[in-house]
Amino acid sequence: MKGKKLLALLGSACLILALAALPFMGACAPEEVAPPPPPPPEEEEAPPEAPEFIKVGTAIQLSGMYASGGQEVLDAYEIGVEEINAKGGVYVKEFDKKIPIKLIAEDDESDLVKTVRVMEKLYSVDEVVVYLFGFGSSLAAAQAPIAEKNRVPWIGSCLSVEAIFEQGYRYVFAAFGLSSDQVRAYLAVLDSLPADVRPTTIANWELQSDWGLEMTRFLKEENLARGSPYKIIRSEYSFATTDFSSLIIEAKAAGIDVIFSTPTPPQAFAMAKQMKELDYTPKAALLQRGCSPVTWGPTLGKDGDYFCNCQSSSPALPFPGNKEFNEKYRALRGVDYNFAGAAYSCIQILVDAIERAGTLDRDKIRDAIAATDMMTVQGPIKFKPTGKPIIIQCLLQWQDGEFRLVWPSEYAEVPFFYPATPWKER
Amino acid sequence: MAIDRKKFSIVTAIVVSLAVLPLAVKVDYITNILIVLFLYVILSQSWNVIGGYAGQMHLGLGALFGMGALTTRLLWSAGTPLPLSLLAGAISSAILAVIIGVPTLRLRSHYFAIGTLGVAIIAMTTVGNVLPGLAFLPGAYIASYNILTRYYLSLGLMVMAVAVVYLLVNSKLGLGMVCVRDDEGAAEATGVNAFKCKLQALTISSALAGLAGGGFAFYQSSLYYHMPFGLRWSFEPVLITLVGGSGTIAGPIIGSVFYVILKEIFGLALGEVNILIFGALFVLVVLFLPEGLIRLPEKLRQLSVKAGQQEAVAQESLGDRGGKGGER
Repeated sequence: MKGKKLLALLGSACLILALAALPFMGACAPEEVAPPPPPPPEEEEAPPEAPEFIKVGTAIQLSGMYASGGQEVLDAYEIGVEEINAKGGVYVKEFDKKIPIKLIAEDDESDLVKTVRVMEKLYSVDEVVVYLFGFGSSLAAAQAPIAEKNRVPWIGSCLSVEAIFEQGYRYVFAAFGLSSDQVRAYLAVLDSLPADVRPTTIANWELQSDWGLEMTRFLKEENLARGSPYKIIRSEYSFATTDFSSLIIEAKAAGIDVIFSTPTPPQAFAMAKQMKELDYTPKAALLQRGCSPVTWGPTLGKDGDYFCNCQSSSPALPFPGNKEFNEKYRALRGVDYNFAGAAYSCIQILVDAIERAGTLDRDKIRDAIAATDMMTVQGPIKFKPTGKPIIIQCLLQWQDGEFRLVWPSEYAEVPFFYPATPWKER
Repeated sequence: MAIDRKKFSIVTAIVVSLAVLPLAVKVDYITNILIVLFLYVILSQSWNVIGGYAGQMHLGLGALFGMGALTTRLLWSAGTPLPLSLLAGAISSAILAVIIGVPTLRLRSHYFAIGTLGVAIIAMTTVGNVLPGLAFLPGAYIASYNILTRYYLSLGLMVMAVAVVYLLVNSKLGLGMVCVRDDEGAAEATGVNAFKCKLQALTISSALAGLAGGGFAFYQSSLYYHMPFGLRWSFEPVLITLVGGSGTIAGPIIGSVFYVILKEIFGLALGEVNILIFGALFVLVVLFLPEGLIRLPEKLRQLSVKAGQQEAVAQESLGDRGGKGGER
């Protein structure tokens, strides 16, 4: 009985081993003389089977502190993808057919840790060919190395921090004016003023963040490049600051002409209110990012006027498709877009790159993006080898409760209003 | 100290399975989730030492996690070998713990909680102001980035952390910590130096938090220096440990699995609504299982016994009635 059991066990073990070894049998088998290959077919080879979709992924901010920005970006992506798919998709030469885009958007909760996991999921589970970015430089800084590691092209709008593009990454591109572009646009507006009214002093209220420091660096560099026409006085504040009275009093006492800062939106609202309370009217004020929300004008009314923000798209820009895109956005949300033009242009860049690459190979798409030279809703765009854009940078100013394009002057809706009307006279 | 062979075999099997898992399932997404899970286990075990065993409502773990992360990242970026950087991270957190502990551990109950929370906020604000930048991994390094190195490091750190807590709770110091937690006055009356005991617990807990921070700094490819000082790192380990079961070895592990894995699944399946549903689930666990998920099997057993008893009573009463009816 015992012997039979042992025999059965050995037999089973041999069978399992034999089955396991089956895949390797070919490798160990002696080489057979292969029959001569059949002659190649006369007609051209049929293209490989096309995938059902071109998968494009975005780890986007649909909840958390950047939710409103993330939603606007996603709206733009969805409008863009819908338009492309309505035409049958993107023509890919390799498959000789149009393939629709499938946009896979996953909420990263504006969380720097979660956004990494979502990026990995989009890559290893969904197998996206391109990443699109959502909103906020800090999240872009977390996402960019993951895109680089996975060698998946990443196109971002609504981010400013330039340091991301100074790390030698090859797969990371921005379709949005970065810190240096923003500084240049603001100074260009000031430079354009007649010499007798042009400001001479700038208060740089520096937010203690990577972006705040970077903006300071570019402000110094740009001023130096101009021969230092502006005297820059720097003061610092942190993310937690809610009382700006010391900065305002200091600027008022020194007779500072214009303000330059990168506050968060709540901080920008507090700055405007406190400037009014302390009766300090800077002749111009760039509250970059802080005064960009669409709620700024309706909330502050005349107190919100004359504050400026730099961005790379505006509904007022006359480039092809911009007006139509804004109409679609307006039909969806009931208001003009704020910065979604830049996000929409990411879809335009992506489609153009895939068509030129003629394949869904990520490396080839990356090379095609790098070679981009095209017109988008936010104007012509090219990329530097670092992934930074060569793009038109706009300056918008709140005037009569409306966010108006004032720079570049050739596209301006209205002239730059300078100097700002004092609080008491509004 | 006798080691339960059965338990030891189960733990060994789990660790071996976890070691083999990323080789079998080559999906970076899963590897990433598990790394985060392991780091949360270390961090919640860290809170478990000071909060679960020593009974101190410590709300400043973020400062110690952050200190470990900051030290490790700065040293590692400067070219120091990773093991040394991790060790330095753990030591720096332990030193900070002594500095924090000497004044705050003289405070009792919620005063200690407020004091430590204050420390976390001060650390977060200070680092945010002094080091507002972020650390990137350069493109050349990213090309050789290996997720498996991160995985095995965090797995190793987690096993080490659990082993440290196991050895600690089975030591004389662990006994002293439990005595202090249950009744500080009585513990002192029996010869336990409560302050020394709490300080030792805080130091060990902080070294573990620093180790978790070091692992996090190695894992995150770009890191804002102030980010690991955020208040989430102070509150999440408390929640995880309480939901899993504080004052137990398995509790923080169960809590971490619940927090990381379930939240991820909910996030994928339910979208933005997951935060609401997950929050409600958290509240339900705290309401119905105040001692944590670790008591769930016991609770289910009790319920089934109760149900069985009720059924038996019901059958008995039916039988009685039947019997009486028969008599009639």
